[in-house]
Amino acid sequence: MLRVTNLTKRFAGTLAVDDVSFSVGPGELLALLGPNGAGKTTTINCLLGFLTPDAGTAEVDGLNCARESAAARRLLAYIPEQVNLYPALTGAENLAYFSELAGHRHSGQRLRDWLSEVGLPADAHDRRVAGYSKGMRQKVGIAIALAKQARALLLDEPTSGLDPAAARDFSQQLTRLRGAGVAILMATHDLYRARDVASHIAIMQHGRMVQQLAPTEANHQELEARYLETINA
Amino acid sequence: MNTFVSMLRWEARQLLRSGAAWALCGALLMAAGLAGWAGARKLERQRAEMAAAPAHYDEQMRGLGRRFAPTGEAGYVAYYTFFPTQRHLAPLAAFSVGLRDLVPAVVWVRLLGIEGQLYEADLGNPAVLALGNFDLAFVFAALAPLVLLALSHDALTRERESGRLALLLAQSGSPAVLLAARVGLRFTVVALTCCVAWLAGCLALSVPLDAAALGWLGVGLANLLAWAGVAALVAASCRSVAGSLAVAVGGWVVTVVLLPALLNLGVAACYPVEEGLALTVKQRQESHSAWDRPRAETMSKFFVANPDWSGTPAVTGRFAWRWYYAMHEVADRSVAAEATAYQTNLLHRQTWHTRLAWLAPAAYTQLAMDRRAGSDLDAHLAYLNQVRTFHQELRAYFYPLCFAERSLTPAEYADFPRFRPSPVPPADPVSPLPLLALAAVSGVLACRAARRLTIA
Repeated sequence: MLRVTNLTKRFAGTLAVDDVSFSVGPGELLALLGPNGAGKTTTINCLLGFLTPDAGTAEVDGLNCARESAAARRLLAYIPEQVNLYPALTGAENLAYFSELAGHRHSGQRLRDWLSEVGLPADAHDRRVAGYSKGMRQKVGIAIALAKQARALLLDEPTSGLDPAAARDFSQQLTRLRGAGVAILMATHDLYRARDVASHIAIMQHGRMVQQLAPTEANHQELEARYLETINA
Repeated sequence: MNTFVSMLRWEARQLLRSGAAWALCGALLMAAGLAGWAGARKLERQRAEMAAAPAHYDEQMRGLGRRFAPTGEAGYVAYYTFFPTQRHLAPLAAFSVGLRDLVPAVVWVRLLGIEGQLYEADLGNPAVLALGNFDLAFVFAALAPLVLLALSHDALTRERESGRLALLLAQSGSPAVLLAARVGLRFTVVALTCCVAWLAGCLALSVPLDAAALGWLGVGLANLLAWAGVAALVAASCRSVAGSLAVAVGGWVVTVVLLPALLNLGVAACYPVEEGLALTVKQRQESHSAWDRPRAETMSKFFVANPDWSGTPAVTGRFAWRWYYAMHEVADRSVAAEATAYQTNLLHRQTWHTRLAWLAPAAYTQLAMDRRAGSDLDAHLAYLNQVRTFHQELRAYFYPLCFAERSLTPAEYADFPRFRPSPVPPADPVSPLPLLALAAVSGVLACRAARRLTIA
C-alpha cells in the first residue's frame, strides 16, 4: 500500500533523507524511530506529496505521490505532531469541516461517536476549540483521521501531548485499524508504544534507515538499548 | 457532496463568527452611507441653484422691464440681461460626483464674448480636473477593495502560520480549490455589502434602477473581482501573514494613490493646459484693447465671419452697440485657437487617463463610473459646447436688433431665447473588460501559485 523506493531529499545541500526504501502493506504498521532531524517527517511529507523527492519514489497504492499528489492524498489520512484547528469552530464542527474537505459528510451522532471514541469528553464536543488543551486538539486530529476512513494512515508523533490513558486508547485504535487492513506509517519517539503496536520497526539516523527489526526480536529494554546503540554509533 | 460547496458553507460559518469581518463590512457600509450623503448634499445644492435660476431670471427681467419697458435699446437691454444655462443633472451624479464639485452647475451668460464668460466660475485648476472625490464611486473603487484585501490577504498564509496548512492539504488535496472558496466567499460578502449600499443609495436618492445604474454597479463589481484576483495572488504567493499584509496594503497604496497621481502628472506634462481663467483674461484684454483701435478695423474683422452685416453703415459715433458686440465677437475669435487647444488637450488627457488607467484599477473604475454618471470631463466639455451653441442663438436673436439700432417691442422681451438643458449624448462607456482581464490573469496566476504551494 505504501512504498518508498530509494527516496532521497536534500534541503540546501543537507541530505534529509538518503536512499531510504521500505513498504507497508495492508494491516501492517511500520514504526519509524529516530532522533530529531533523522528524516522521519521528511519521509512522511514526501508520501503526502508536500515535498518532491530529489531521487527515488514515494507511492501510495501505486500512485506516485509527487506527480499524482491529489489522488494519492485521497487514499491517505494524516495526523501531524501538533494538530491546529479552527478556534472559532467547536470540536464537532472542526471534525465535520475536515471530513467534508475529504468528501465525507457524516451525521452529527457519528461525528460525536468518533470524538468519544478518541477520548474527547462529551461536554467538550460543542465547545469552541479555542479553549481546548493540546491533548484535546490532538484527539480531534485523531478523530479527523479516523473519520476519513482512509486505506493508509500517516502519523507524525501522534501521541504527542496525549495523557497516558488517551495514548493507550489510541494504541488500541491503531490495533483495530490494523485489523481492518489499514496500512500505517508512524513516526515516533515512543519506543514502548512502537514495540506494542508495530508490525515492523525501523530506526533512522542522518536520513538513512540504519536498522530494521520485528517487535518480536526485542523486548522493551532490548529495543531501547539497540536504539541508543544505533543513534550513538 | 461537492467539496467546494462544503468549503463555502464552513467558510461562511467562520466568517459569520469573525468580529473583524463584521467590523470591516460595517465600516464599509458607514463609509458608503457617508459618501452617499455627501454626494446627495452636493447634488442638492446644485439642484437648488438650478431650481432658483428661472426665478432669478424672472426677477431680473422684471427689473429690466421697470428700467427699460415698454421699449429699450436692444443693445442696452442685452448688455444687462444675464441668461442662465444649466447642465443636465443625471440622477447617478449623486453616486459619481466627478467634476461636478469643481465646475459650476449654472453658468450665466450675456451677449458679450462667450470665451470670456465660460470659465469665470471655474473653481478648479484643470491640472487637477482628473480624479478624486469622496463619493460612492470612491467607496466602490478604492475602499471596498481595501476591505476585500484585509479579509482575503491571509487566506493561505494564516493557515501556514497557524500550522493548519498540512492537515488542510492532506484532507482537501487541492489548495487552489481552498483558495478559490475562501477568496470567492469574501468577494461575495464584500460585493453584497456594496450592493446593499448601492440599493439603499438608489432608494434614498431616487436613482432609477435602470440600465445606467446597473452598468454603474457592474463596473464597481468588476473592479472588486479584479481585486479578488489580486488578493488570491497575494494569499498564494506570500509565506507569512505579515508579508501578505505588507504586499496587499503596499499594492493598494501604489495602485490607488501613487500610480494615479503619477499618471496624472505624466499626462499633464504631455498635454499642458492653461487655466480656463487665462482664456478669460486673454479674451478680455483683446476686447478692451479694441477701444483704442479704429472702429472700422474691428468691424472689418467682424465682417469676415459675418458677411451678412457687411452692408451696414460704418460706425461713426463714439459708441454703437453693434460695434461693441462685434468687438467681443472678434475677441472671441482671437482666442479661438487657444479655446480649441484647451478643449483638445483636456480631451487628450481624458483619453490617455482612460488608456493608462487600467494600470490603476481604482482610477479606471472611477473614470468608468463618472462616464456612466455623466459627470466626467467629456460631459463637462459637452455642456460648455451647449452653452456656446446657446450663445450663438443669443447673437442670432440680438444682432438684427442691434444692427438695426432699434428698440425692443414688448413681445420681443418675452421672446428672448431660453437655454434648455439636455442630456449630453452618451460618450462611449469605458469598458469594464480590462478589469475583468485583470481578474482573470491574477486568478490564473493565483491558482498556479497555490498549486505550487508547499508546507515547507
